[in-house]
Parts: sequence; structure tokens; C-alpha cells
Amino acid sequence: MSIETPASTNIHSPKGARPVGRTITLTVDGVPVQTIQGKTVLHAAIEAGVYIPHLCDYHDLTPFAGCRMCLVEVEGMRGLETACTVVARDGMVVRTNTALARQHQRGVLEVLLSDHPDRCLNCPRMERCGPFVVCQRDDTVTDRCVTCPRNKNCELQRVVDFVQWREQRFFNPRRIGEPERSNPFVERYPDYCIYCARCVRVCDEVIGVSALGLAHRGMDATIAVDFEKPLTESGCIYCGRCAVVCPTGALMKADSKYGATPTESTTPSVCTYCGVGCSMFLNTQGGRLANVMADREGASNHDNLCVRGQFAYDYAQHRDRLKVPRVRQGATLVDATWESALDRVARDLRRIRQAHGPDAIAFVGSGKITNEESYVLQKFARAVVGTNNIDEPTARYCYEPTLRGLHESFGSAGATIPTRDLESAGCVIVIGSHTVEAHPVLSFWVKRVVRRGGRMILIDPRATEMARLASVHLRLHPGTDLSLLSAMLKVIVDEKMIDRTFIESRVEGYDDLAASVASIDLAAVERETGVPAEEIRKAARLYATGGMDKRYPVPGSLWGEIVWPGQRTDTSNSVITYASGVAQQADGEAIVRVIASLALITGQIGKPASGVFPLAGQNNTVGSVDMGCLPNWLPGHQPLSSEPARAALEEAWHRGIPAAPGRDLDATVEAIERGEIKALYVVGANPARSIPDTERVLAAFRKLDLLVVQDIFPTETAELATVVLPASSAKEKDGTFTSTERRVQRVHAALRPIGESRPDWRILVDLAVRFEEDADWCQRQFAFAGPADIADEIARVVPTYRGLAYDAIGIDGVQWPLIDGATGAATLYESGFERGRGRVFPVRASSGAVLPDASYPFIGIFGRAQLWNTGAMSARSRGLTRMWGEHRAQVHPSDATRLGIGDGDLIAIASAHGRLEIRVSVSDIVAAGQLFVPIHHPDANRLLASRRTGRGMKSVALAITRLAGPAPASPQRSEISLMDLPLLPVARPTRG
Amino acid sequence: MSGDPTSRFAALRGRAVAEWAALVQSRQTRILVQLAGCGIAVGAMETFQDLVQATRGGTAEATVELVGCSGLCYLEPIVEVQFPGGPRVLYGGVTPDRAPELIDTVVSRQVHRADWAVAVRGPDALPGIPSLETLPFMKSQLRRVLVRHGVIDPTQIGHYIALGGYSQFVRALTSLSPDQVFAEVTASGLVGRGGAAFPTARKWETARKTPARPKYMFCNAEEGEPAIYKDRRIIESDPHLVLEGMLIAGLAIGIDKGYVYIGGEHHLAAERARIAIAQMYEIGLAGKNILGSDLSLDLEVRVGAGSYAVGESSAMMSSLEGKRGMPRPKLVRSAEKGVWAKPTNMNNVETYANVPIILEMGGAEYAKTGTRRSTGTKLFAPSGQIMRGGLIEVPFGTPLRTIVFDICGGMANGGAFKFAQPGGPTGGAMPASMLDLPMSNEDCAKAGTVLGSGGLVIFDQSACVVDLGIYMMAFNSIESCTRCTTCRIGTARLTDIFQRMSRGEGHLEDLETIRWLGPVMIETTLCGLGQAAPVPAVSLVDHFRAELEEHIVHRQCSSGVCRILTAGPNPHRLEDARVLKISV
Repeated sequence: MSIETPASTNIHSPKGARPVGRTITLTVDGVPVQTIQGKTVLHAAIEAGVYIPHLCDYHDLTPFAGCRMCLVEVEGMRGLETACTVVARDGMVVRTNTALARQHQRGVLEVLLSDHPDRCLNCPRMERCGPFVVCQRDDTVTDRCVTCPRNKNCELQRVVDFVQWREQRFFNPRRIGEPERSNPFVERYPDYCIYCARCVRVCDEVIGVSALGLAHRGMDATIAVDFEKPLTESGCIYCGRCAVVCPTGALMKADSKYGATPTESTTPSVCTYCGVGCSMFLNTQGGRLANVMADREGASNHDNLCVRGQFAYDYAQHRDRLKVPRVRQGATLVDATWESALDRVARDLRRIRQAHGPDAIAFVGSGKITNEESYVLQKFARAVVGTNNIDEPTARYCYEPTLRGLHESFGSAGATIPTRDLESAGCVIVIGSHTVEAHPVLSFWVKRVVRRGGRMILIDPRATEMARLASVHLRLHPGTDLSLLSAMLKVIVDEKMIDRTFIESRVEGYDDLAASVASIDLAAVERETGVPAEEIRKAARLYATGGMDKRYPVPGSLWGEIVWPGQRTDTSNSVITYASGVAQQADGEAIVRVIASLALITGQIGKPASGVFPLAGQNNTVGSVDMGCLPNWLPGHQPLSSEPARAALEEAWHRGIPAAPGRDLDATVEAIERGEIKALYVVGANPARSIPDTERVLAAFRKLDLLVVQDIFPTETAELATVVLPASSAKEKDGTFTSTERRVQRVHAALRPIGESRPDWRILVDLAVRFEEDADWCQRQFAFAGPADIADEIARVVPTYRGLAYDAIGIDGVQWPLIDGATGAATLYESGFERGRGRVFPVRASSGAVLPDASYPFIGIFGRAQLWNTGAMSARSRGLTRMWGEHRAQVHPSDATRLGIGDGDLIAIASAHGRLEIRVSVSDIVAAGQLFVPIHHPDANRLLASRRTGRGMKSVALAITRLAGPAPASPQRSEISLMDLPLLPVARPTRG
Repeated sequence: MSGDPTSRFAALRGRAVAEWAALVQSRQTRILVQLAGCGIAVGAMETFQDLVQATRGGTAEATVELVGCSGLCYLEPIVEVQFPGGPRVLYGGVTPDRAPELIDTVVSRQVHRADWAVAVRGPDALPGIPSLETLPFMKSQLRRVLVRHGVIDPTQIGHYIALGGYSQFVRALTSLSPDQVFAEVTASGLVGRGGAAFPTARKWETARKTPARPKYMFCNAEEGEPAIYKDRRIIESDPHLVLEGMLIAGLAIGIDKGYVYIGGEHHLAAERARIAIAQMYEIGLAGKNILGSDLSLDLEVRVGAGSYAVGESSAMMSSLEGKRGMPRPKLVRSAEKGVWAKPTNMNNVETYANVPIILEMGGAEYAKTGTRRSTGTKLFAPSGQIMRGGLIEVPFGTPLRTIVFDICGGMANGGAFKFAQPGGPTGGAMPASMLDLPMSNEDCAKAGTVLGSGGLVIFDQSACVVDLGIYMMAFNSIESCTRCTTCRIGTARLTDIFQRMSRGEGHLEDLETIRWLGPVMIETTLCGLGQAAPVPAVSLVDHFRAELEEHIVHRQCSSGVCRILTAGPNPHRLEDARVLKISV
């Protein structure tokens, strides 16, 4: 494999699929207002700064026209019109502040407030009133605005102020509804509901969950969860969006009740869970994180967050946070000063390098630290220590096959389109991803494809929530993805559904591919994968045609249920999106190549809303890969073997870089066992839990001379450490993260560092000063004053980030590579590939799926649930642990019946390598004979063999035995205990 | 079957005529039971079953058949008896307990009883029994839509064809172009019969001109308001007239699929419509290539879940799409983007029923009946405290007086006419001063009320307007779809006000509140239902202010309906005291 110097980035396009309409001009209150065609008068006016009172309209929902507040007069139309239902037209003349409009707005408000607590709203003392002030008007305590959770953040208050409503002529017979606090995330107070149905619509139109609905009619109407049960018994995913859009206090995020408004400071940031890169704002009050707000214009999330992003930020101030450095003395870790801890690390590292050479030291990076920190870490390893022994767990186990596979096919690796383009596709293949739980916000956009009459093809052994919406669900046997996708290739080649022009002009290796698929027998594939050949054909045809194959009309019965009427997909292009379900298989890289081949031979790449969309696990997995935190890759996706790449880096660093590739994580464990690696430096990772074959990993780590762990929490790895260095979380530092759509986004410090913790880059710089003998070099090459300094060097040295000015990265971020050094590339490969022609490879035989046998009769599937990876962060989030703290394996009802297992029973799961105990939920999400094991279970990796054995991490043969019945219901489960509250004191100012 | 539409239909028609003739000239006594919703409610089904039992058991030689309702609902259950060679004679009030009597004294003896029989169907009278057409109830009517009601068996497509049915459709299919059909409808000046009185031709034109396919068509048979029963009677008694109208409309507009959307409560109508459509498919009058022509049109019955608001066109479309039946904001007209965002034409049952009549008469001739802007005839469903309630058809513009006093025979029990309530719970009351108002859309609008879809409840002095206000406002409140603030809460507040008045706790300000809230609701609600909801309340204040003030000030209900605990004025209340000083 050779790498050309990065070709001109002009082969990419800055444009995505989302069309921009024609600009029109209308007049609002005598002022000309420019807007995009298709917008309503209300949106046009509000964007132009003219406020029209409204309660039910919301910027990304279809007009509801229920509140009847946004009354305007439009020239040429009779009487009053609701601005939310009038589409703006060129030359339209709108008047918002006429006497008639105001008069009727007051009328509507008066009627509305006869069904909502109203006495405070026209009280002249409102501003001077507080929750404990004796009410001058003798209003009921529970009916007072000052005791409403939404007080001062309430749109109804704003509307009342605006239209100056003062009079109530109706007697107000208050309705008393039962508040619902069934879950730690969203609380419901039906008394305050004004039936604007924003929550119902957002849940349906944006989130695609439809947990909420309108029930009954007239004054009996309620916003009801399915069958009027509590939220916990519905399909709710607790994204909190309903509470965000609620204009009154009827739906509240439990964390932002009572004045947790962005009063003190608001800091733009990025979510630190999955790779979607949801842009958000951190609101702090009194030095604490009060709540988060999604970014309304967020490039990938567009006002959405998932339960983790919306509610699970509280880990950052959990009392478990590491606050001071700790050094091992005998069996225990004792507190130490930074000076002594860093001296100790520097001394030990130097000793080990002298005695055993630089390759006796290995580094573990993180998908959670910033790009700058990843860059500094690998520079520390390569230039300061002089080894390529650096690896990053999520990159290793989730992204590396993508990097290699896509690189060989296209010449570079990354999602070929922006996240939001997914919804414009005509057909999306989702493979190896439980998108709803692992990348929830991205799943909203995928669901939208179906809503618009496009197709989703799900390739998953489990019938996850996505299966309900899938046009084709290829429920294959675990581990047979390669055969299945190869068979799809064959169908496309055989049925001539290839894009001949595209292949001739832009693809090489097609003939070899065509020859290699000739021998595939669909009947054999059907036997191997368990998927009917006809379904495979259907999937292939739909994919190749972008969902437009006339043979497969959208089934009528689904039409009214799921598809939005009158919607049409923006494009007839296809995307394949995949996650670690592909990458963690033994054949991971081969599957990625087949995925790339599918895109190349059908020409479904290089245009908007098409191509390949790998989903990165961690928020900065892509960044750590970009920065070269891999043993065989240099920063900017340059293979270590590339002579010019190494030379360029050596020139920039004024240091030689070892040419021999370093050891990856699995090899590192073996090398530690053999005594070849003596020191392990772990930054923000928890390899003691995340590397397969935990027992062996722990034993190896105990053999180390030096184990340094730099982290925010005392992880399992930190417990074994020689030195533990407290790092600052992403909420406390500046830097950039790179999301799965290649978007480099800035984070800003919202909090002071907890305790004495320091940002990871700072620790490494401090360490380098102590470790490096050439102080002069260190001064020139490593004395970074801040992330901006590091980012400047990245912009010079890392090809994909070339020219990316740190200060210019706004809240929207920039997608690498830059086109003409300025604009981010939205759609990759529009007019070419980095490697010239796209390369397709002959398919190869599958290395064989894991098969059950007599002693291990089940196939275990490993995947994510609502928690996050090893749980260092998520298990310290109050809400997440309360809801999903107990890990549950899923077993099919027929197996459960056969083995006498009931819901909630405790079972033991054993594989050839290890054993764990877990409670079970009986569910037909998994197929019979299969067992789903959440990777968040502390012992999940004990069941797996080391990847060096050539086995995947996704499935393994298991045996299960029932141990005990369900646990007794814990009484405090339904109540929030004060003890759950994080008790961290406000950070004191750091000295100096 | 083969051949062109004309010959295929001629064959169908020939067979139907022969069957009909055999039936009419039957050598057996025919007993025909009018089985529609009105009759069944008072026992016609039991009568029918008893008669079947009796004739099977051998007590009498006769065949028992079912027919639709002939509109004389005040006489239900009605049974017609036809001796071989004789005319059909109507017997009223044949409740199950009188069925044996009918068998014993009429059928067995083969003589008609002049003391019981109501009328003779047909122009000729029998001794002591008048002709149906000369009955006062029928004399002032002009029956076009209702002409086959009670005559034919609604479950037999052959009966309809034998009496000239589907010939207009076949004419439109074979010898008229869609443009000609459209021109006839335009010339007829047909307006919608659902209450809004929108010119049908204009609606069709929009749908016709929108290029998108497929195009859908709705027959709106939701009819959810109380005291209206014209649409379901049409479907129960003569479904094919409506379906023929739909076929013609479909032909003129270019419709691909038609839905007959029937209210969830109207089981019988839904069943009869299903039977009718099944028979159309059977003989090739619906589905692919109708009668071998290029025209393809599918028809389907959909039943609602029981909601008044679904009668609104966009709500009906939402309901059909499987959503909550709420009216939705129409950023584009539904004729352009309706159900599933496709062009959708929606007409009322009665509107469709008029279409074959227009083709038969010619548009210009049709327009001669009625008033200038309301052409043709209109069905009314007079009920209440009158002598004769039922389903009537009169030309537009017939004065209310004619309906109440000539057709319906005036007030029952010697009462005096107090007011009429047209258009169900959304129309304005018509007091005695409006008795000479011509019943046409434009005249009613001018007088500040609406004609509505044809409901007409007539009250005498025993009715209390406060009680009526509670009833109508509560209905509107319960049926409010929840979307618009002002409709959802406004109707409930109006109900509150009337309820307080009824308890003797009203305030004089309430009357002003009603008058204030009405225009607010009318201006700020989305659909016609919300806009019409406050109309009855406002019109009660306008026309019966004295009676309302009586409730408020004197705390009396002269009709004796409201249960006010302490009668008489309440001197402790400031406003009462003030009024008392002025008025006493």
C-alpha cells in the first residue's frame, strides 16, 4: 500500500444534500424581511426579530395552529390569520401589531388562562414576589407562578407580558392532575398543560418514538403516554426533548426545575459520550453544572440530545472524581503532590527506557481526550520516549478496520457525508449498529428516512427498535455479515444494477470483483446466514436503486402508521452506516471493504446523502485516530510505513521517529506477559476492562514495573496503577473534538478544574519537561502554553487538519479536510478519490461465524445498552444508574421457558474463557439460541478471547445456568434519595 | 361479460327490469317492511322478524321483503302490504305487538283496513285510504333524492337499476365527455349540502386541475351531530344513488379511489353501503375497467370511531390516514393536497345524490328549482315538538312556516311555536319572527343563522333556552377536537355559564361574556366546527335575552325545566338589586 501526498482537497464538495430555498422578501410591520421560500410568516418574522406571540409553534415542527396566538393581518386576506399557517410569499405585507390582532390575542389568552393558573400572571407584584412571600391575592400556593418549576423560563409568561393581558372574566375551575415523577429525567405536571401538543409532535416528528399522544377530546383531553401509563412503561427514550419544547411547566427536565436557567454562565460545548458530536451549551450556576441545553443549530444534532447528553453530564462533578495525584506505597495508593508524582513517573520512565529501551514503554490513548491532547500524547510517545507503542482502545476495537478498509478503497477514511444528510437519503443500510441506543440522535435522522417514504435496511441479528421501521430486516446469524454483504454484491453484479459509467471513470478492480462473486451461491448464503435469498435480493435491489426499486412499493399497511404523508425523500441515494457490530468482528476489515465496494460499484458515493458512514464509538475516537494514536499510523491517517510522511514529521519535530510499528493493545498485553514491556502509560482509558480476556489482562498489568493512569475517575485500571494523575474532564478544559462526521468542534471550559486536576495536555507537557534530557528541544517542541499552541502545530503538521485555525472553529465546527484552506468538506469524493480511483477488492470467504456446540449452546451477542462503555462516566450519573444501573442480559422467551428462566432471574454465563453473573430480561429482541450481553457489565470482557486469536469481539459461544430468582423490589427505587446527589464542593480557585 | 359499456349495461338493465316486474306482478301477497334506522329504533326489526315467522309458519301466504325508509318517520314502524295485482298500502305504527293483528286482519283476509292504513303508494286512492301523494306531509314536498326511498330494497342493486339507476352514469361514461359532465354540474349551480354550501363545481374544478395522481374522493357520511339523520337515511334507503353520484364525480374529476366515510355510530348505513359496493364490484360497476371501459375507480367504506369533529374534511382525512381525527391547518386546499397529500375531493352524501338527478334533468333545468344561489331541493330532518317528524325534501327557499305547519302539521300537544334550531348544535335559533324566512343558504346567512346540513329541531314553550344552551354547548365541548384553545376551553366556559344560569347563579355580565366570546371564537378557531360552536349561544342571547334574564334576575324558569332551588330575585346580589330597582 502506498500513500500519495494528500491530493488536492478540491475533489470534495462543501455542499451537503440539504437544499436551500430561494430568498424572498416580505414586509412585516412596514419593515422588509428576507427569508427562505417555504417558511411561514411566523418563522420569517421571528428570524427578522419581530416577535409574534405564539405557544404551539416550534421551529422544527410542522404547524399545529392550536394555540391561536400568532394572529396577524395579511394584506389581501380577510380578517386575522395565524402566522404559523401562512406561508410567506414574495411581496406579502403582514401587520402584527394591529388593534384587532392584539384584541383577539388578549381574548385567546383570557380563554386559555381560564384553564391554567393565572392569578400571578396579572398580578402587579409579580416581579417582587417570591416563593415564600405571603400572597396578597390569596392565591393557592400550588397555583402561583413563583412555585412553578418553569417560572421565569415560561413562554406563557412571556406572551402575557407581550400582549399585556390583564383581565380575567371567567371563573377558573382548576383541574387537578396527578404529577408524574416515575423516572429521574422527565417530570410531568398536567395542571400546567396548555395542549399545544409540542411534546406530542416532537416525539413523533423529530424523535420518531411517539411515546406521547393526545388522548380524549375537549376538556377531558390529556397528554397521555401509551395507554395512559407512566413514562417508564412506554417506549420513551428519555431524550428530554418534550420537556425542552414545553412552553409551560407541564413537562420538566428533572434537573432544570426552579430557576436552573442559564443565568450565570453558558458555555458552548460538545457532548462527551458517543461520536455523533452533539453541540450543546453547559449552564453553570454557583460553580456547578446546572443543566445542559442542546444547540438549536447544532450541525449534527439540531436541538436534539439523547438521555446521556441531556441528563448524564453530572458525572463531571461526581464525588468520585480524582482530585489529587496518588502514588503507590506498597498495597495502597497515597495522596501526593504533583511535583513528587510527576518526578516519580519521569524517573521510572527514564530508568525503564535506559534499561530496556524505549519499546519497553507503551501508551494507551483515549477517545475522550481532546485532539490536542491526543496529539501531545503520541508526540510524547514517538518523539520524547521514542516508541510507536501507542494505541487507543476504541480506535483499536471499533475504528481501525474502517481506517484500513476505507483507506485501501478510497485513499482516506471518514464518513463521506455530514450526519444530517442521512435523512435525505432514499435508502439507508444500518449494519452492526443498535443506533437507537448507541447513537440515539443519529437514529432520529435515520428514522426520518422512513418517515419520508425512503427505505431502511437493517442488518442485525437482533430485532431492535429500528427493525419496526425497516423495509427489510436481514436477521442474520451473528458473524455472517461478510457472506451476506458479498451476496448482495453478487446480486448487484448479476442483475447489472451497477453504475457502469461510474465504474469506468472512477473505479479499479471491478473485473476481479465480478469474477470473485461469480462463485457465490445464494442458496449456500441463505443456509449460512439464515436470511432468505429473496430478502437478500430485495435489500441489494433497494440499495442499488436508492430505495426506488418499483418491485418493492412501500407496504400499504405501514403507510398511515409510519410514513409521513406527502413526504418524499430528497434524493434517491443510498448510504451504508455501520458501527462496531462490523468492526469488532473477526472479518471487520473485509466487511468494510465490501461495504466500500457496494458503494463504489453502484456509484452510491461522491454525491450528497450517499456513501459510507462509519459510526465512531467515543466522542473523539475519530480525533484520536486523526492524531495518530495508533501503533502503525501517524497523525493525519498516514501509515507509519510511509517514508515521506515520517520524514515530514521528523522534520517538523526535529526528532527521529522509529520506523518499526509499535504494539497494539492485544500485543502489548502479550509483551507485558513476556516481560518485554515494563511500563504502561494510560491516558483516559480503562484497558483493565475494555481489552478482551480480562483475567489475563489484569494478571499482565500486575506484572508491570510502572503503570501510570491519568484519568478523571478511579477506574479498574487506576486501582492497579503505580501513579494516578487526576485529569480534568472535558467540561473543565478547552480543546477540540472530532465527531464521526469528521467535524472538528471546540469545547470550552465551563467549570474550574475539580480539585487539583489538570488537563491531560498539561500533565504531559509537565512530564516531558521532567523526562526529556534535551531541555532546549523540549522548550522548542513541547512547551505548549495551551491548546491553541498545540492546535497551531496540528494545523501545520497533520495533513487532514492542515490550515485549520483554532480560533476560527466556531460553534458549528469544521469538517476536515478543508477545501481551499477555508471551508469544511461536507460531501467527500465528489470529483475524485484521494488515491485516484476508488478500489474494489475481490470478495474473500468468511473466516467462519462462531457456532454453538454441545457445551456452549448459545451465541452471545455483545453490544451497548443505555450506559456507556465501561461505565466510568455513565455509571456515575445518577439518572442513568437509577434507570438502567442493573445490567440485563436478554434471552429469547422460548429459551427462557426451556431453561426455566424468568424475567429478572440471576443467571451465570460462561464461555470458554470466563464467566459472569447477570440478571436476565426475557425478550424477543434476540433470536432463539442467542443471548445479548451488555458490554457495560464489569465482567463482559472476561467472556472473550484475546483478539490475537483471530476471534471477533461481537459474538462468542456461551452456556447459561440459572442461579436465583428475581431480586426483591427495592423500595427506594421510585424516589430520589438525597444520598444520590453528588456532594462535590464548589471547586476552589487554583493558585497561580 | 363482454361488449362495450352500453350493451353491457343494457343487458344488466334488462335483467333488472324483468326481475322488478316479476316482483311487482307477484302472485303472492307482498309484505314490505321499512327497515331503516328510524323504524328499527321503534321495533321494525322485531316486526319484520315476526312477520317472517308468521308467513313461514303458514298462518298467511305472503312474502316479506325489506325496503328503505320513506321519510314518514312519525309513523314508524311502517309496513306496506300489496295484494296480487293491487297497489302497495302503507300501515303505520306496526309495532311488534300489532304485527299479528296485521297478519290476521289484513294479510289473511286479503282486505285493506281503512281505519289503520295510512296511504296508498301511487297516485290512485283506495276507498277510505288516500293516495300517499295527497297526504299533507307529502303534498308540499318535492321529492327527487327521496323518490326511491321506501320503494326499493336498498340491498338489491337490481331494484335501483330497474328504476332507472346508473343510466345517467352510463350515459356520462359513454356519450358525455368529462367536460360535459362538469359543465352540467356547473350549470346546475349545485352547492354543498354538508352545511358550508360551497359551490360543488368549484371544488371539483380544483381537484380536476391538480395534476398529481392518485386522486381521492370522499363521501362524507359522518353526520355526527344530534337530530340530523338525512345522510344515513339516504345510504340506508337508497345507497346506489349516492354511489352513482360518486361514479359520475369520479369520472368528471378523474378520481382513482373513493371512500365512503361513515360515522362510527351508523352501523346500518355502513353495512348497507358495504353491501351496495360489493354488488357494484360483482356486476362490474366499480373497480378496474368499469363495464369494460377505461374508467377504473375503487370504492371503499371506512367507518369512523365516533367523533363529531371528523365530519370536518381535513379531520376526516387525518382519521383515514390512521391519525387522531383532528382538523388540520390547510396550508394548501385539500382539493390540491388532501389525504396523503394527494388531490382529494370531498362532498356530502346529499351532494353526490343530486349529481345523477342533475344529469337526468340537465343542469339548467335543475337550477330552476330553489333560489338563485341555492338551487335544487334540500333534505330536512324536522324533529321536536311537532305533529309529524321525518325526512322531507323541499325546494330551497321554502319558508320555515310551510315546513313546520304544512308538512309537519304544526306543533304537537297544542303547543305554540317557540323557535326552530337549524343545523344541529352549531346553528343559530330561529324564533317565530323568522317563520317566513325562506330556507335557503343566502337568506339564512342574511338573517344571522345557518341552514346547516339539514337538521331542524322545533321547540314549543316547554323548552327552556338555558337548558338548550347547556345541551348544545356541552355537545360542542365534548366534541371539540382539542386543537384550538378557544374552541376547547371556550365551549367549556360557555357550558359553565349556562349551567350556572340553570342553577340560578348566573350574572348579567354573563350575557355580555357570551356576546364577547362568540366573535373571539369565530375569529380564532381553525375549522368550521369551532367557528360555529358559539353561534347557538350567541343567538340565544340575541333572541331570548328576556328568558335568560329571567333565569338570572328573577331566578325562575318559566318552562319549568331548570331546577332553581330558591326562586325569585336574589336581593343579596348587587346586580340583581340594581336590575330590580329599574325593572320592578
